[in-house]
Amino acid sequence: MASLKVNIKKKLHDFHLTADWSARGNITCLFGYTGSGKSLTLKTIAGLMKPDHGYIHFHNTIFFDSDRRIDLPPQKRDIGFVFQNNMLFPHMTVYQNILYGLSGTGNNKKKKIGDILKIFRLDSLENKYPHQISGGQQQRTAIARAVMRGPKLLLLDEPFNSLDYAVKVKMHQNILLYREYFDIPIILITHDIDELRCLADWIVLYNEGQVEQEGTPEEIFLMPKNRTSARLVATKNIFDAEVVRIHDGLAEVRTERIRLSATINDEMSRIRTGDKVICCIRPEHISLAGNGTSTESGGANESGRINTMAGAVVDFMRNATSYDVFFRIEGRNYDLENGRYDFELKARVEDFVNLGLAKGQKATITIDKNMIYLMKR
Amino acid sequence: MIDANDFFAVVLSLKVAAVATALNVIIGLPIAYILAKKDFLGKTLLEALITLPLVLPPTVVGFYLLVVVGRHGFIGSILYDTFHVSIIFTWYAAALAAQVVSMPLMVRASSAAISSIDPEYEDASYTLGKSRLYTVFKVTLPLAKKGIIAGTVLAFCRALGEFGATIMVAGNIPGKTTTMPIAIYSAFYSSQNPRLHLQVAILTIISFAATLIVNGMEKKGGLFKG
Repeated sequence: MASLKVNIKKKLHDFHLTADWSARGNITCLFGYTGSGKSLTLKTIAGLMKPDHGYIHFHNTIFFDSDRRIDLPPQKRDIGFVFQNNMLFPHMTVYQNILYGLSGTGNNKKKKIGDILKIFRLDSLENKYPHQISGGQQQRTAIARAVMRGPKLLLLDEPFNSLDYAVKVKMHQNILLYREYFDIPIILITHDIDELRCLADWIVLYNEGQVEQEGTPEEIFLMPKNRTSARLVATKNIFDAEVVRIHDGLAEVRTERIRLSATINDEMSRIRTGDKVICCIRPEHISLAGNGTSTESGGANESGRINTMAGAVVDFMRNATSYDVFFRIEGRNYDLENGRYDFELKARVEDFVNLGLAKGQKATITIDKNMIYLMKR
Repeated sequence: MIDANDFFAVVLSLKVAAVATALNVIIGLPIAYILAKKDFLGKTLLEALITLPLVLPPTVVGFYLLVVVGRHGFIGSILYDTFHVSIIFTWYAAALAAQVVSMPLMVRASSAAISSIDPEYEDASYTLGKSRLYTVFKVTLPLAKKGIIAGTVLAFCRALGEFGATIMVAGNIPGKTTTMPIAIYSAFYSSQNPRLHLQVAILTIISFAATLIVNGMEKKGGLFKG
């Protein structure tokens, strides 16, 4: 059951937006590059921008419907909106900001704001002005202000964008907590793939003003609809291949240099021998082992040997919690000097260090056969 | 040393400037808001018209005012025919002249201050259930406060010092329409130096103090810092 249904068209200067999707689950994430139309969509949901055409429904309320000439003002949509730059009123204290949206009087109000201050851990900051508190505290205040009125839908426009990494991670935990507490659907815009992974129950992929795909995180990450979708969610290893054999529920594919076997899942059931396919493998589904140790680590069963290839590290890049490794498979045109690589994979820091890996070091990689996705070209 | 007419000129000037400033806030502020927020046909024309009194010689503004509110002017004649009143050569005319001449300063400063506010502050207010009017008074105007006050003070000073248009429409009737700048002019031409110096000193002090306040407000730290 979809709580929010968006089907709109909007032209803004030279930009054309066409959005058609439904929210599902607690947190729906709009994901895509900057300038792909996510923010514009969110503003039309809030009533801050008017679509040229289409409709926006939320449960039984019609927010907007061009055919029926309905355009509910933002004041009547019962939404909470958190802006990218928090937009706390600089001339009001934390307390006054949070109180701003609340009507009604007396003790009830006082108790309510007391509760909110506690939940958002703002009790000691209530008399401070926005510029006197940290970025994380500002965003907590902004969210507190947005939920104070008890909205039926919470819209978050990249609220954690400007925060430091550690604060951001903390805010993700907070959001998951608030989700439990307030129990209202949340639409969250992000272009941070970790944030997407961490928070989304349902993902809507945006690309250049179009919705490329919507689905559960599993669908989006493991079964992208096309090359663009795959690229958007950082699939990294996307290449053309040909199906050479189908046997025992496995599709064997081949490129000029690589042979791989992929488990045929429901989505891939139409694949036949001889098909030209696009092969998608996420970097985190390729494991790295030292030179010649692949058979030991994989055990004796045959799945351990499948998709294991020898080669060398062409280059690597350090990340906060992992290494991006660029790997070249042995075979034709095996030349590490020209910088060409066959796979990009994610290695745990300790694995990389324990294996003593470096540029040019020999190693083996194994690709999980259940995690290779093939789509027809 | 200070005679009744001089004292009257000081009080009249302050009264004229105060009324002009009040009119500026009532008329000028909505115009500033509309210029800052709305796009409409003829906006550029309206902006130019509002700025015109700033660049025209005040005597020319005075001439136009006579055309409008003079006894034979198109508003003045209606006033005279229906109520048998004429504002020409009264202090009302002085206030009107001061207002027309000083309004551009007020409107331009306020409009610039209002349009420099990120409209997402207002959006935030709307999503919190507040009406446009409530938002104007609780968010927009408080955020534009500095620019509006600065513009208002400058316009007050301009109104206080208004000479050319005032003498055209209100004349120089001591004890009735003679404001400080006009009194200074008269004192100079009748070589009454002590009277001249006193009036000059009063106008200078008021204007300097006001400029100090405006400049102090534009600095972040306040009046006596930086």
